[in-house]
Amino acid sequence: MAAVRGALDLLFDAVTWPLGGTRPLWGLILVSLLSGLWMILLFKTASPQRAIKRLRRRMGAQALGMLLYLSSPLQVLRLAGGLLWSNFLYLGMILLPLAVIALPFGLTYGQLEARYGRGYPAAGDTLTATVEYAVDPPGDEEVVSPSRGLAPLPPLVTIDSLRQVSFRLRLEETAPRSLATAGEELPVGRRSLRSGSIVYSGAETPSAASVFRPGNMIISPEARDSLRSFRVSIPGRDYHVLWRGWSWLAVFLVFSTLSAVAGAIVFKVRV
Amino acid sequence: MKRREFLRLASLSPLALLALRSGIARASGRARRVIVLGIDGMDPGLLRRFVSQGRMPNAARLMQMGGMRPLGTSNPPQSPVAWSSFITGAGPDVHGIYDFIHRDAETMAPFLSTSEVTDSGDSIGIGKWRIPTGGADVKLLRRGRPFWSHITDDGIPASLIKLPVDFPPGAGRARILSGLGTPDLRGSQGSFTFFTDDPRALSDDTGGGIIRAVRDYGDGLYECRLEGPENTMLESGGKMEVPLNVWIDRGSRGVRIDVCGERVVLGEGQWSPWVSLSFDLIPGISSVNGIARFFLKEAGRYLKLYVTPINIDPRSPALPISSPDHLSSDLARAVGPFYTQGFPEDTKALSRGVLSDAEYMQQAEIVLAERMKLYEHSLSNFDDGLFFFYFTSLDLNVHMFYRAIDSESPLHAQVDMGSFGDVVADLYGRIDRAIGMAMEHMDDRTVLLALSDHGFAPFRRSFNLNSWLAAEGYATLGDPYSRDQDMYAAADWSETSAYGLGLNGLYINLRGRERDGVVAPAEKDRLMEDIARRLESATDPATGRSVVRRAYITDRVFGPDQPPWAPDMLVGYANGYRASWETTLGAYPEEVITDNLDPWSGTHCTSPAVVPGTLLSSVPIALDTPTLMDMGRSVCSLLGTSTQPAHGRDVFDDEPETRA
Repeated sequence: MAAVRGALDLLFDAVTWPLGGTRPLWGLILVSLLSGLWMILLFKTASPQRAIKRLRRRMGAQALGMLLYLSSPLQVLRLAGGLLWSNFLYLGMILLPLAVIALPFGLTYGQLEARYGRGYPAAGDTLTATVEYAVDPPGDEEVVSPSRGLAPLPPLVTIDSLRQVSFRLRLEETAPRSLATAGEELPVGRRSLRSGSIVYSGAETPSAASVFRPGNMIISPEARDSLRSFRVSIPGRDYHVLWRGWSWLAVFLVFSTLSAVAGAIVFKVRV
Repeated sequence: MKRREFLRLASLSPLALLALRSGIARASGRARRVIVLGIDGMDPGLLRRFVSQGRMPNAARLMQMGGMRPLGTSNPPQSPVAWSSFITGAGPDVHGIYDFIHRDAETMAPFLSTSEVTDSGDSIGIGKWRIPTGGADVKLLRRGRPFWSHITDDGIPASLIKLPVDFPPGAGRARILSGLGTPDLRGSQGSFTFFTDDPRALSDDTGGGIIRAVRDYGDGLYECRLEGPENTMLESGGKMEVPLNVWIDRGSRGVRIDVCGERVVLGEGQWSPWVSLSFDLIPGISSVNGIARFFLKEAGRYLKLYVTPINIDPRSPALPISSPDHLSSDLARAVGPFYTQGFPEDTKALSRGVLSDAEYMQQAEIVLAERMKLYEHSLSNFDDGLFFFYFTSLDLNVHMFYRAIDSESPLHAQVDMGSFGDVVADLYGRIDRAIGMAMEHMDDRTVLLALSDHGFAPFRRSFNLNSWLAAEGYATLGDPYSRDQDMYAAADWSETSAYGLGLNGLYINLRGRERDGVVAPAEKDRLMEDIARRLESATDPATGRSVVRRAYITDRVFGPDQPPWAPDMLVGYANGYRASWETTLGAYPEEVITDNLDPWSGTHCTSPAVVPGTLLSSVPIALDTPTLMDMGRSVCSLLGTSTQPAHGRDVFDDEPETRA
């Protein structure tokens, strides 16, 4: 699983690299356009294009038929029933391609959310961190060892029943930042200042689901006996487009849809 | 017309239209830009004092540039009334706002004077849910034409940020963010929540906030529920709530609050940033968003956790707080979330002892810092036309700390003068910095006005108007054991000819108008004259001073055609006196006049002559006695609008035309 994650990280690093020196919006637009394109091509490959073409013609005929026989309610009802059935067939036909797209889309979503979904906290900002231990939490002075670019603020709130310690972190430097706890050094925020690089907001023990959460580091095997998870609240970010602030998801949906529509026209994909 | 000439004209006309729209064609205006700072409660006497002490260098500079005058306020001099008069250029007879609260004479129920929420009542019931089909409507009750409509009608931009008495803002071309009068999410003017297991702090008093008893069952977890607005989609009604898990660590004297997917860590004496709250109307389908801050007072033997009133989230407002709609979210994106409720400083929490003086000042500082951020951002984006910005901090904080500058206040000796002796002066200094920022933004065609709706007076003694009416024989108590209860629980209406409600209002229990009216209409004038004469001669037995400077019979001040919610008389209290809190909601305490022992120690709900406002201007003020009602017309005149408000005078004109 770690290998898959590493490969995905590398792939998206490579895609976002060319625009890493520009504002993150441009990188997000680029990835959105590429995503729309591969999704439509994947749809073309996985879907029965001829059957969709036939079905769409039939649906068109049924709609026109209803207009033609407006004076005959029975005929209109029969055609409407047919149209409804065609819609069901259509939904059945696109079920498989959508299932095929779902996995890469989930992986892309996780990557984009980790790279463009969170702000890059500035020096002076305060974040809330929670460390969950596999054993009883250590005493206050052992929770956080000297860390880079971060200053833990009192109080350190220990919740024995949950084996958790929560505290705030004041960011002191621009980058890079990391927090040392339970013998593990955990990155907080970006490792690189280039836009589009992953913003780390936690750490977890490996599982199949962790491949969808590239913003979480994998806790090293040596630390797993004492550390279960680590989470930092990094606020989301907005993108200013057309005088308004938009979430990364809104930007992604608009630009991926645009490229998917363009791709469907160019590559003659029946949707 | 030759072809070339036609083409030339055709190409020029869009430019001319554009020029007209952008205000370039405003040749007649004396100013291209007018900045109006609305500083609630800036007192001319205190201003002069702090200017002479060198604490307000920018105000001093502004006084040298143009001038300073006391500004005549409204009658009564209450903020909603006064700002409505500023907006419409007229008195309560035109804008319809006579007090913070009015009453429905048929039901005797009080209601907020500035806005109302109406529900069409049409709905479809599905199980326990009630799906409204007609929708609820929030309505501004202020009447009259606002002065800026003359400005925007000429295509001149107008931006009014934190505008008082304009909730919900009307649709128009002005950019407006509502200020004073904007409710919190519970629909009140500000209702805090306080979670504690300290039995000494528990109370069933719900004025200004709710105190909730909570308990730790030994695992360090307090399972709290934060009450939100009414669930209008539930057939049975009831308040919406969000669960709040508060984990306490007594060793580190801190808590972690888990709420709506967020974790907040706080130590004793610390304030949280804004936390987003989502109240489910129908789980998973519909919700209402709000924001609140948390303050941890104590995490030792007891938990004491204060939660601010739940504010409407400016990023996704549950009620209309700006025009255009997206203005509030644009501002929040630029400067971060901010207090949207009209009264952001939590004076009630201080009055009820939930917050100490120091804790209240921390909260007030958060409010002011946010407001200054909003001001800086809005000012830096102002290019042309009218810019109005409203500051509330001076008013609310002087209300609470007048006891620090009033040596005759019953609470003066208890004020920690080392910490709070300079609070008022420091606040004036902060406002001076705001004036300075606006001055930096000026050019030779910019006019800067800093004005207030009223000044301030001490509130040393509370006058129980209803008790006085009972003592003078104008009211009879049917149930003397209920005299401390609100809404006239003690009154025997069949023997009551007058009653007090609100901060300055006195009403005749008129037959045919009031639910249990007994006074014949023919008797009303004589009765009012009698009450006015006796009020004006009432003295405080403890000091020998007059309590009421003047009692104003409403229809003699404003004319005979008053709306049914208008008080029959406006009681203009003398310096040092004000209606008691008990009077405002219809109680009859034992004593008529008592010491005011509430930290709310400054007032302006007196006679208008006691508390004039202030006008500072960067251009000479021609009138010796300008009033708040003149300012809208004066701003229009400065900008050279083609039409002008029907009321008011131009205070910058040597020979102003007076309008009725």
